[in-house]
Amino acid sequence: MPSPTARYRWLRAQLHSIRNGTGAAVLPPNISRLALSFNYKTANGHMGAKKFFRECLPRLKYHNPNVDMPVTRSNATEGPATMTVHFFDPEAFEKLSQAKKKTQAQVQPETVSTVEINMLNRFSEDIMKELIEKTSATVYSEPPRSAELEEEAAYLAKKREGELAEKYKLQRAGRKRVTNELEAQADILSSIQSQSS
Amino acid sequence: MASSLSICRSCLARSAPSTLLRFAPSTSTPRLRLLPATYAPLTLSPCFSTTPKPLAGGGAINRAKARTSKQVKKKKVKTHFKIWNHADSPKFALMDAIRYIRAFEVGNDQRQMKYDLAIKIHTLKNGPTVKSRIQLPKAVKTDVRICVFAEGKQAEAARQAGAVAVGSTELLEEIKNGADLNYDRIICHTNFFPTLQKANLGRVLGPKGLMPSPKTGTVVGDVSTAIQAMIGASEYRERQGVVRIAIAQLSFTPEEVRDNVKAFVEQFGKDLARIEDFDKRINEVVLSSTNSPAFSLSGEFRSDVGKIPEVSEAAAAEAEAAIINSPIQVDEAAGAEKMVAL
Repeated sequence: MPSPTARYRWLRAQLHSIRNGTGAAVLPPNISRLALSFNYKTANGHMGAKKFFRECLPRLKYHNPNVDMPVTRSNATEGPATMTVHFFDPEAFEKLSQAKKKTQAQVQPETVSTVEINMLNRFSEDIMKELIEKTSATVYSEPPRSAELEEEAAYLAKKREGELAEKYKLQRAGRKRVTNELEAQADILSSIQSQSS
Repeated sequence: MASSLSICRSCLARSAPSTLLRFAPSTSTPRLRLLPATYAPLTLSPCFSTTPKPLAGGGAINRAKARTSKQVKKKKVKTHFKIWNHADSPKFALMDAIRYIRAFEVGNDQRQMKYDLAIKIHTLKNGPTVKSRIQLPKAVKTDVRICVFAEGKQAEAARQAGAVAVGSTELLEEIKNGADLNYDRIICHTNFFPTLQKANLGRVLGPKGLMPSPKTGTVVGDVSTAIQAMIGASEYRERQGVVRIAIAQLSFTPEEVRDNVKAFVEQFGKDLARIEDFDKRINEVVLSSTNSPAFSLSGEFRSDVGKIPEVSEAAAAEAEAAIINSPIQVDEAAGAEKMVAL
C-alpha cells in the first residue's frame, strides 16, 4: 500500500477534476435517466461522444448521484450516436413509492417524456452546452484553487501522461513482437510446404 | 527566580498527539528546564577558539576514513511492516466515498465492478498471518456452480439450496464417460462417499481439485448448509501487512455496503484478537473499486456537514454508531483519536 501522502496528493487532484470542468452541472429533479448509445470505434464521428462519456459523464454522475446513466456501445463502425434524456414526474413517483413501501418492491420512475440529443460529429463541449440548454441545468462552479495546488495538479497530470505514454509504448512493442513472430512462423511453414510439394 | 523559568519550545511541539500512541511521548509530565530565557543566543558558536581546527574541506575525507577503520555499522533490520501516520490525511464518510466511486465507475457494468476493501495492519513481518473466510450479509459472488452427490431427501435439499447438478450413480457414469465438468466445487454426502471412492474418479476429478474429501470439508452430513456456506463465502488473507477483500458489488445500495463492511471489520478484529502473543492492530481502512482511486474511511456512514438530520432514519443512525464503535474495540489508539475528532 502506498503512503497516505502519495495517495492523497493524486486523490486531491482527481477529486477536484471530477467536481469541476465541463460537465459539472446539477440537473433539475425531474430527470431520471440519461442514456448514451454510440460505437466502440471512434471513426465516423463518434469521437465526441466518447470524449463526452470519458470526461463529462463522471462529473454529471457526481453532481447527480440519483440519475441513472447507462452507456451502451456497439461494435458497428457506422450509425447514430445519441443521448436520450428521460423526464419523469417526481410527485407521482413519490406517491407510488410510498404506496409500494409496504410490499418492499423496487419502483422504477415512469418516463413521461424524452429529449434526444445528437452526438454525431460534435465536440463534447457542444454536446454539454446543448444538454444544459435543453434541460435547464445549473452549472456548478467552485472558488478557484490556490496557485500551489494548481501547480501540483499540473505536475501530477504531466507525470501521469509520461507514465501512460511509456506503458503504451511497451504495449505496442509487445504487439509488434508477437506479430513478427507469427509472420516468421508462417514463412517457415510455407517454405516447408513448398519443399514437400 | 520564577521569572527565569521557561518551558522548552521543542519539547512542547513534540508532545502533539499522534496516531501511534505507543511511540508518542507521554503528555502527563510536561518537561521543564531550569534555563534562563536568554539561553538561545548563548548556544551560538563562539567567534574564536584556542583549540586547533582541522583544515577546511577535509571533514568529509576524515569521516570516510574513520568509517573504514572502524566496524561498518549494521543496517537496522525492520521487524514490522511499515506503517504511516495518517492522522493529517483526510478521511471520508462511507456515503461520500461511494458517491465519488460511482462517479468514477459511470458507464461500467455494475455487476462486474466491485468495491474493494483494504485493511492495513500494524504487524510483524515474520509472525503468524490471518487467513479466514467470511459469510457477508449480502454475498458478492453468487454464481458458484456446485455439483452434489447425494440420494433421496438430501438430493432434494441440495436442489433447493441452489446446486447446479444433483445425482448419484447416473451422475458418476456421466462423469466417467467424459461429461463436461463445468463446476467450481463438488460436494458428496457421507452415505454416498464409499461408492464414490469405489468408482475411481480420482483420475478425472483430482487434477481439477474437485475430488470430494473429508479433509477439505466437501464430504458432509448436511448438504444444504454446506452449499449455503459455499455460495456466499469469500476468503481473505493477510499479505505484506494488508488484507484485501471484494466487499460488495457496485450495484449494492450504500446500506448493503455498510452492513458488509461492518460485518467484515468486526470479524477481522476477532481474527486479530485470536492470534495471541503477537501485537496486531488495524492501522487504516481503505475503500476503493475496480476503476477508482482509494478513499480512507473515517468510520462514519455519512458526514452531516451542512445537512439537516432526518428523524425517520433513527435506525440508520444506530447502525452508524455501531460502525463507529467496531474499530474502537480493535484499535484503542486510533479509536480514541476518532472520538476526539468527532
